[in-house]
Amino acid sequence: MMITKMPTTSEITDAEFSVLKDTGRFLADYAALLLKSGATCVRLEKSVNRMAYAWHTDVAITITPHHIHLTIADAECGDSFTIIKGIDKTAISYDIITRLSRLSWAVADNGLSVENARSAMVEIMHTPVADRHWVLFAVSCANASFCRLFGGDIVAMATVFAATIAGYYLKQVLSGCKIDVRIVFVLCAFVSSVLGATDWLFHIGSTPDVALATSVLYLVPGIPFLNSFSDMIDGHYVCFFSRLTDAVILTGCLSVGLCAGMMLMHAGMF
Amino acid sequence: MLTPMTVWLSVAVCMIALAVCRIFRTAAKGAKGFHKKFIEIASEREVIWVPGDMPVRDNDDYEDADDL
Repeated sequence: MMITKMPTTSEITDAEFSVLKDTGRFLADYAALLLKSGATCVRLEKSVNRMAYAWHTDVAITITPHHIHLTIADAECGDSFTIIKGIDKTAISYDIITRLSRLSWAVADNGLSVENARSAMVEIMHTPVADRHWVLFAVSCANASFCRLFGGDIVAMATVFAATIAGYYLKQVLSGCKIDVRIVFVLCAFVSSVLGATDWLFHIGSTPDVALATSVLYLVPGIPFLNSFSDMIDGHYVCFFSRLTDAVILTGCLSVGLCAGMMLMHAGMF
Repeated sequence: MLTPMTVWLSVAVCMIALAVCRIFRTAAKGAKGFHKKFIEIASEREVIWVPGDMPVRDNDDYEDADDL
């Protein structure tokens, strides 16, 4: 984190500057946590401004894909300084986003102090992630349901369920080994598409094409796509392009794995 | 000759092998933890931990790639 104090002509005591600095640091940490948890830019700006207003400060934020630039100024004397906070990539968590949003309302409505807000944020940061076995089962059920929505029969649903379990399990294992996410996507799409072609290979079921096509849907990066369009509508074009590029690259990796699987299985267009 | 059946079998066998290996490794870890040690040298963090400190967490979480 980097802090730059802006020169001003007004007088501010050391104690007041210390409070302003603590407030700015908290808001920068809060904004960084919100952004890396997968929040959209509009939510981030609203939540930070809500708390800044409650603490009688003015805040201006520049959101870039890997940094937050936050300038905080005392609402009365106008003294200000800028904080630059780096953002590391972690798992998206809607649970953390919801709790952070509630925290901002607690500050605005109940007058929570900076110290108490920081304690609450530290607690939120340690929110446990969902159980991986439960997630594996839920994702597989969801993908099998997608298969049904696209007209797949019960055999196709079972095939998609098994293909998703295998692919998503591989994704969990490879992600745990810190392997590049693009390689993970290619491998998982390949495994899922090969296993998704089971109906076609053994001539079982009446909708083998639906099973093959829907076996990789769990890899579609939906949240980055949605967030990027939200950023575009709100005018945050830098974040929009960054998130869209991330999502397009992952979709490309997914397509490479799917095409490789279909080609080796001699299925579909190959 | 790389036939669809060969590819399918290779992928299926690899995935089953991966799952079995991970299950055995987890079971071995569990079995190792079952034997309680009466005397051991703990980590510095465990030694100086006092009630009220941040809890020592198992950092075995995975990163979700589609959750970018």
